[in-house]
Amino acid sequence: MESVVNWFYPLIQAILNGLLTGALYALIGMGMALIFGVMRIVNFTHGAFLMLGMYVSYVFFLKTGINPYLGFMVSGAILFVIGYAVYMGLLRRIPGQVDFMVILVTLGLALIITDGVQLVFGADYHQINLPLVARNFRLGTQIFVNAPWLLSFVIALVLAVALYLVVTHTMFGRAARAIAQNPYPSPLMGINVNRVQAISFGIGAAAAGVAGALLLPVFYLYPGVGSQFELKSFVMVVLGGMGSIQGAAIAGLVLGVVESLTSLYWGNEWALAVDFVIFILVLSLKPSGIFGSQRA
Amino acid sequence: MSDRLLELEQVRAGYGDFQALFNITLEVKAGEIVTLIGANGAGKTTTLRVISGLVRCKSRKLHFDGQDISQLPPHEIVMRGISHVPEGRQLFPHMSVEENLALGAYIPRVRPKLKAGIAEQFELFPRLQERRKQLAGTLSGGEQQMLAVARGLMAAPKLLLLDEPSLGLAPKIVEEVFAKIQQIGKSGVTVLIVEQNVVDGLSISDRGYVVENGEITLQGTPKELLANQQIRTAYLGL
Repeated sequence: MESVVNWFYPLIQAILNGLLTGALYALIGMGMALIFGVMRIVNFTHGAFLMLGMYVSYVFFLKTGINPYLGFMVSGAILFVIGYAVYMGLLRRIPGQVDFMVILVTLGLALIITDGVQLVFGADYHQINLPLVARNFRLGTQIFVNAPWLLSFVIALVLAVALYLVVTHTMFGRAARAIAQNPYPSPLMGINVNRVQAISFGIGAAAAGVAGALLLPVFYLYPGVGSQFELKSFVMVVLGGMGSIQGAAIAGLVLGVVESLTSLYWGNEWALAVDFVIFILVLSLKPSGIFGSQRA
Repeated sequence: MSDRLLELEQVRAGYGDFQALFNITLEVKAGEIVTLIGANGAGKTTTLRVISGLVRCKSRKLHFDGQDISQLPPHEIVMRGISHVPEGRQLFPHMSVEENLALGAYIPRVRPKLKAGIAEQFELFPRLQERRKQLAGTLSGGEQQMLAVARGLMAAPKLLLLDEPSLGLAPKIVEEVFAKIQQIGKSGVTVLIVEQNVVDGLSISDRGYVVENGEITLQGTPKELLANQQIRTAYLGL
C-alpha cells in the first residue's frame, strides 16, 4: 500500500494537473492554428495578445471587482476587435502577403504592444488575490484539484468545443476552411476573403486573450508574460498538424501532461526543454504533425 | 435594354509589368453558348479572370446585365449572377462532394435553397450523388470536372464561365462533359467557354471568338470558324 501511494498518486496528480493546464494551452494553440490554417500566417503577436487579455482582465478586476472568470468575456471581446483591426489595418495591406514580411510585421507589432504596456503599467509583476485560489477539492484521500484551475479548465473546454463547432458546422467556418484548403477559388464562391480572414484573426486573438484572462488568477502578470505561451503555441501547431485546430487542441492537452510529468520526474526546469525536444523531433521526423491531418 | 448579357469593349489587363490583354471586345447574348478559342498564353484565361473580377482591367466597357462591373470585387460579381469555374477544377480537396456544393451556394440569395440546389445538381450529375460523401480530392478527373461545374451552378448564375472544361480528360469523358454543358445551356443558363479543344468547344456553341496575343482577331459562327483556313492550320493542324 505504501509503495502505491509513493508512485501512483503523484502520477495521477501530475496527469490531472497537466490536463488542467493543457486545456488553457489548447485554447491558445487553437487560436494560433486557426490563424495559421486560414491565412498561413505565423502569428508572432499571439503572446502579446495573450498578455493584453491578461491586462484587460486585470484592469477590469481592479475597476469593477469582477473576477476574471467572468472578465474573460471582456478580454475576448476586446481582443477580437483588436485582432480584426490588426488584420484589416496592417496584414491585409502587405503586398502578396509575403511570409517574411508578415513575420516581421507581427513581430514588430508584438514589440510595440509589449513596450506600450510596459510604458503604461511598468515592468513590475502584478498578481490579483482571489479567495478562490486557495480552494482545493479533494478526490479520495490523496488527489487534489485546485478550484481556479478546474474553473479555467471547464471554461476553456467549453470554448474550445464551441470554436470547433463554429469551424466545422457554420457557413463562416466552411468559408474559413475553404480558404485554408484552396484560397484561389474562394472568392469565386462569393466568399469575402478579407472579411473571413479578419474574423478568423480576430477569433484567434480572442482565444489568446481569453486564455490570458483565465491565467491571471494563477499566474504573475508582467508585459513579457506572453512569450513563453507563444513558444508553446508554435509547438502545438506543429504537433497538431499545421493549421488543424482539433489537432492543436489535442496537442495542447498532451503538452500540458508531458510538462507536468517532466516536472514530476526530472524537475521543473526541464519542462520547457522537453517542449522543444518534441518540437524539433516532430519537425524533423513527421512535419505533417501527429494529432491531426493538415488543414482538416 | 438589349439582350446583351455580357459586353466587353477594349479590355486591357495584365499582371504587374506583363500585359496579357491588349484589346478584347466581345459580347455574349442571353441564352447563348459562346466559345473563346486560342493558343496557350493568348489571354483566354485572363479574359475570364477579368470578367469574374480576379484581375483588374482598364476598359471602355465591362458590363454585365446592363451594369458596369469593372470596379466590383469577385465576391460581389458572383452575387450579380456570374459563376466562374476555373481552370484545373480548383475544388476544396479535403471536403466532401456535398460540402463543395454547399460552398457553391455560399451567396445569401441561394443559401436558403441549398437542399433543392444539391438535389438539382445530383439529377444533372448522378455520379456525384453516388460519391456525395467522398472527399473531392479523391474523385477521378472527370468527376472532379463535373463537381466543379455543379459547384458553379449552385449559385444559380445567369452566366457560367468555364475555363478549359476538357483539360486533362479522356476523349470519352470530354464528350460527356460537353454534352452536359449543352444541356446546361438548354436549361437557360448563358455559357462562355474557354477551350483549346477547338472542335468540341465550337460544336456545342452558337458563336465563337479567336484570341491571339491578347486580342480578338476573329469571330463567327462555328461553321464559319471551322471553315477558316487560318484556324484550320493553326488549331486543327489541317
